[in-house]
Amino acid sequence: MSLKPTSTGWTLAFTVLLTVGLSLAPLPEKFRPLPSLRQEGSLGPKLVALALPASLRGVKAPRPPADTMAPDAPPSALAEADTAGADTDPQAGPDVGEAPAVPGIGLEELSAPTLANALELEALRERMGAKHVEIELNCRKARADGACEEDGLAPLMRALGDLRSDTRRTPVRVVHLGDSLIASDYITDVVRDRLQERFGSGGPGFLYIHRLASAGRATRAGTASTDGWKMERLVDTHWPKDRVGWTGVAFSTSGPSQGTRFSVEGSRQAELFFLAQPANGSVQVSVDGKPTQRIQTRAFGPKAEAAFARLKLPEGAKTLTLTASGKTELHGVSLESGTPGVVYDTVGLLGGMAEVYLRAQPAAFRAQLRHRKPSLVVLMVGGNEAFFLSRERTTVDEVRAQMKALVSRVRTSVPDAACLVMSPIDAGVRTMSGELVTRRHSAQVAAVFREEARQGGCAYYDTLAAMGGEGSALKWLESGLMLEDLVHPRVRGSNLLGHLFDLALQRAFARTHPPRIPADMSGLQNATPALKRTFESLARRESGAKLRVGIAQLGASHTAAHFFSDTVRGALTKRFGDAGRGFIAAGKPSPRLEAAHVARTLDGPWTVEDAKGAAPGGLWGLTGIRAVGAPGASLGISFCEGCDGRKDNTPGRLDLYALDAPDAAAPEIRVDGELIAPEAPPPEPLTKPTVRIRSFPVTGPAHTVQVTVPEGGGSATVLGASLEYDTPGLVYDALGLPGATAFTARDMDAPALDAQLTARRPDLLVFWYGTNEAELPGLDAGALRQDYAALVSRLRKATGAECLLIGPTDRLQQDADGRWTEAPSLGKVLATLPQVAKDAGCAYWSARAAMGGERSMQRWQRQPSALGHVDGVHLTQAGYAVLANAFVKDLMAAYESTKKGGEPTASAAGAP
Amino acid sequence: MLSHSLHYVIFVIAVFALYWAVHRHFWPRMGVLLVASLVLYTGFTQLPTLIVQGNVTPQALLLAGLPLLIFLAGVTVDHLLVKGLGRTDRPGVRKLLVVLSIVSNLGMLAGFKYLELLRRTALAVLGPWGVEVRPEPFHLLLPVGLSFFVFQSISYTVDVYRGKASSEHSFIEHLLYMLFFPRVVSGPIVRASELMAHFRQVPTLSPDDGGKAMFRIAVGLVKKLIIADVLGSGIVDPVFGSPEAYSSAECAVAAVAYTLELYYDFSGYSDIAIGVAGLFGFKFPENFARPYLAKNLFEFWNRWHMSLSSWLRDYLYIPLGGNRRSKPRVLFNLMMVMVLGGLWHGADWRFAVWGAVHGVALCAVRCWWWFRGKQPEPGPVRAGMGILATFTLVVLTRVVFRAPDMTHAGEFYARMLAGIPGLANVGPLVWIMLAVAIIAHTLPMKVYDQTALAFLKLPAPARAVVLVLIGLGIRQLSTLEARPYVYLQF
Repeated sequence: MSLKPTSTGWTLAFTVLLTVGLSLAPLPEKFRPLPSLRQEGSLGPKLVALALPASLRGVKAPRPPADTMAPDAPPSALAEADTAGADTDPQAGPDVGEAPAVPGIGLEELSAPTLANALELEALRERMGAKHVEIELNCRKARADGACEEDGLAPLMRALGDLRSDTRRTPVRVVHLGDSLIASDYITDVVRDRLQERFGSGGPGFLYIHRLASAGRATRAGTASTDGWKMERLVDTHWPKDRVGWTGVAFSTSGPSQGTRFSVEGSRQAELFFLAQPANGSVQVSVDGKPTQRIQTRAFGPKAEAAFARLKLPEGAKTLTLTASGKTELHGVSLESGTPGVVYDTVGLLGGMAEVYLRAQPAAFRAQLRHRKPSLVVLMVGGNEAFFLSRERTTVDEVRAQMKALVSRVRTSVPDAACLVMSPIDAGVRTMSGELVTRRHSAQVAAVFREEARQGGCAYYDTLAAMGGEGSALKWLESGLMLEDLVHPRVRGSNLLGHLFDLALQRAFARTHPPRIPADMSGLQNATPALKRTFESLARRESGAKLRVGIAQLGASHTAAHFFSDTVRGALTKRFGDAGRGFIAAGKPSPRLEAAHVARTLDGPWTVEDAKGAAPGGLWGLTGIRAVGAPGASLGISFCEGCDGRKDNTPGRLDLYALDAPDAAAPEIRVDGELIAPEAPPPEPLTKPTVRIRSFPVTGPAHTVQVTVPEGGGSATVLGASLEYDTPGLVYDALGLPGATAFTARDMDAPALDAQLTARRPDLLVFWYGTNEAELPGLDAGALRQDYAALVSRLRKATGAECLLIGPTDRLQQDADGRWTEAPSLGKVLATLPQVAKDAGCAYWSARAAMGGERSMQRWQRQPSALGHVDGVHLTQAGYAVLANAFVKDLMAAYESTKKGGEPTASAAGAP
Repeated sequence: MLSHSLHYVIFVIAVFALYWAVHRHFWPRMGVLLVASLVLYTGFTQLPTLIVQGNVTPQALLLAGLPLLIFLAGVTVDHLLVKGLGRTDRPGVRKLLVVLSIVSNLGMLAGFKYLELLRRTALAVLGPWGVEVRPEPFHLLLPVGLSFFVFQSISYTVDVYRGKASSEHSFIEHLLYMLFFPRVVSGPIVRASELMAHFRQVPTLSPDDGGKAMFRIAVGLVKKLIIADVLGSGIVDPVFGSPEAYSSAECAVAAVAYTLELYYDFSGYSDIAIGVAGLFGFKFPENFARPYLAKNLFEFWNRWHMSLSSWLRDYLYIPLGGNRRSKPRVLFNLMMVMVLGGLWHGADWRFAVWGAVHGVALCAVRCWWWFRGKQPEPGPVRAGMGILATFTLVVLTRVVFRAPDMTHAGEFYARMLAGIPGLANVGPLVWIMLAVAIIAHTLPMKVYDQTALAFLKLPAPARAVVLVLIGLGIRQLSTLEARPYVYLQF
């Protein structure tokens, strides 16, 4: 190689020297080839960082980006800007509006399935180093002396409180405006679902005419005939000026009729957002294919303006079709259930930023927002601002001015609504050297937003700090929570962000509205040692041992309904084997038994009596019922009617439970139509009524026992019958008496009850009393504790079984104004039953906590497919199934944990 | 460490200094190049991270270094076979040895690259008939640059078999030939006769050659980091990500932009590779010759990824019989080469479809020539029409190449043909870059040559100023996030 002055070596040497020299010189950044050399810190490490790839410095080698974007990615991710790390100290608490700490992190009022998901997200949060960050409430209204009169979230909290106390008849609406992070609704759907679970659902809310992009989900839009609609967005280079409000997108048509269709199940009200303009346009409204009305979109004046048309939807409506004719411009449709609850609108524009929302026509923005009457407006932008700052396409002053203007526009449009500004999230970039680094400027944007929120009287949520602060995006990428674009979280990451924001909202609510009744522990408590032997038997059964495991559930209407126990039985027998249906009380035909293929008949003069209100010491069947038949009366109980799947030669045992009394007639018994020989009389004449249990061997799955009281004699009393197969498996008895309390069971004749229960050979007794006790105005909690514990201990002693107490469901009652309030003694019962379980050495599981705690009954009532009964006491069949599944999940989690040799966790879902 | 990264530039400067310090001595010279090549390739594995983080266990080392081990094993097997070829004249044995080399190389490619495709295909085709096919993916690792490695490997053994390359090279030379760092990741595919023969010559580097090499590298960086990446992030990725959100016109612009992006991306990479090789006194073959000015599809393939096209011609098309067979067989050969060439780009049937469409078009052109006789050099109008028609076909077929699957490709075509007007989402920077891309592609070569000449005439400090200015320009104009080469995935 030549070393002349023009040689390659000299050129390279000069290039290196010039590059380093310029980089260290005090020049504007754009003139420095390697700006990082002039940043703070010694030169050596920076030179090493330049020379050595990340992988050689102990940083994971960058993964090549995916060839295509993941399906959950919002489209145009690269056009979308990002966010960067911040110097925010995540430990630093909010400086304004900080309130006393609430117990827990906000999980208290979630139902068991939601809680299970929430706890998975909590575990993920722990792993990722994400944090629970409190909402900075700030002050929206100050007194003359400067003290804060109303914090930034007060209107929302008031509205939610009114929902909670059942004094509000209109929905609580939240309008959430943002960028691509919420376009796919993965963050906001968590918040929406949780709020609607806690406070009731007011319906889906605002939806677009058609999805804005093909990628991501299409849950927040109708399905339109896309070709004929022209879509113009505020983010477009040529955005729709002077027409669109915060909804941000105009769907216009002027040619042949164009349609769009929405699924409206569960909705009773719809509202069309459109542009009234001086043109002949109209929209034909059809519900389930039938035309219902036509809306003229013509403006009365010369100017176009945002307009609305309200539509009523008939009950049971499934689809709403809008067909636009003529020159028409639609902006969206809101769907609501018409019931009090939360409606959470989301508008996520790809490339959205404060400046983009300011492009909206001010009058339309104001009109649309006022029309919505929101209790809260959330502004979630900032990623694109940070991106533009990094490219020097904007300045901090511009970002500040734009957010100030947007906050001001929101506050002046809806002065009665709360507003909340969220910071951008952390993001990363892949540098030219292939290194992954945190994107700059997000912290700057976050600081600007925080200040503008404070000045504008809005609350502020530091999403960046919640995510884990600066650098968290890279960590999230490694854990698969971020897309390769390092800007957009994947579904799981979005869910985590939604989870954190929701809990922050919930904690803010709990500060202003502490629960009236302290939250009880969720999950299965004290499973060890209370259920040790039961779990051992189940484990042996599961490993093939030929044994029977018996579980008997005693209780009130929740048990008598059979829906809960059917679900539990189904789940447990599926895993551990089915050894028969177990005990069925004598009684009238009941459709509730059909699911278990059981049928009852009563012919002739029967009197079905129960133990409620009866004098103490009466002889009753296991459920607290007895059927007394006069001569000529006939009773039948059929098992396995129409069931299949069991071999015909299955051997089994059919037991008949009856009362024998001195004057009683000897009933005629037929098993499967075959007359059974009368039993030999007792050696000693009876002097008092006695429980008699007769056992008949049977073969095959389906059997009927028929009891007929002979003519010309006395009456006969039948208590019930049970069917079991001589096959290994589990038998789950449901022994419930509607309206019963623990006191009812206490007052039943002890030897008779003990003998019958012992005959059922239970390994585990499940007690589910308490719901009716909660209704007693002057409940003596001490007596309940003492008597209930004594009852449980006595039955445990008689049967040798372990025990598990289920706490009451949430119980409400309506006052004179029709408002729902908690049952008067619910708090006492909830406080007492865990004590009872402890006293009697039982495990404890709170049904109310599994439902979601405070006012959960109301929320269950308001589910689109109601889970709570209209009486505020019981659940629907679906509700019982949901509750039972939660119970089984917790029970099996404890079982699994014990099987592995560890201490069972409190719950599959865990306890907060 | 990709070749458009700053790390790579610093790496090259460091190796350059070492190399020329010892260039007169064979083993030190070879040692510098081999160590540099091994270090660079190791950077594509997880080995450095593993070592720096101290998680060194035999199992982890083996797993992290597997790509390197695969390459080393491949070179060792081939080297033994080449030595065997050099020691025997018996035709049967020689044929056996070369077949063994081809089979082992293709087996490696099939195993690591196509086994998963075969499994998915078998599952889709045989599964419904009740045939049991493994449902879980194999999760096999695909070493970076394997496709190029295999083709280069085959070319060496076949060339030795054909007597076009020497079998006398040492294992170190063989290894360096396969792993030579300027081209190891994405080519160009360099024949043994073009590279290994120069290993033993004392290298020289005249100021002009060095200047040309630096100019070439700078041009490559501009092509890649400014034109290709701006088009990619500015229009191609968003539109191909969600074509339904864009108008038909925007989809068409995106398809054109992708066609240009791919060229500037890959030719930019090739320029850097050729330039870096030039800095060490090696001359790599050209890979592109302004392909979008081709007047027909045959010419296009003679101008596009030339090192691959010529490889396919020499090692697949000609062995199949080339043009010297019956007409149906010639057409079959064409189809075979294009389908396999398509499939070489990725383990997905859409690449085969893409290749097949090109194959059909080539067959149609060939039939037309048979029918009309091959036309002499066409006039300007016919040439223009030919360029336009060829470019259109290339643009349309690129959609299949770029889309993640055939369904997406179908959706893209449907959207593009829906006739929805509007170009609101094509930003000014994209328009500018499209214009730059088209103008740069159509400029006469002498403009490029004169610019290079002007650079060469500059004294070293002035050259340095130009290079730094180019670097600053790249920093200002490029997208902040440098994107990996498109061809890296192949």
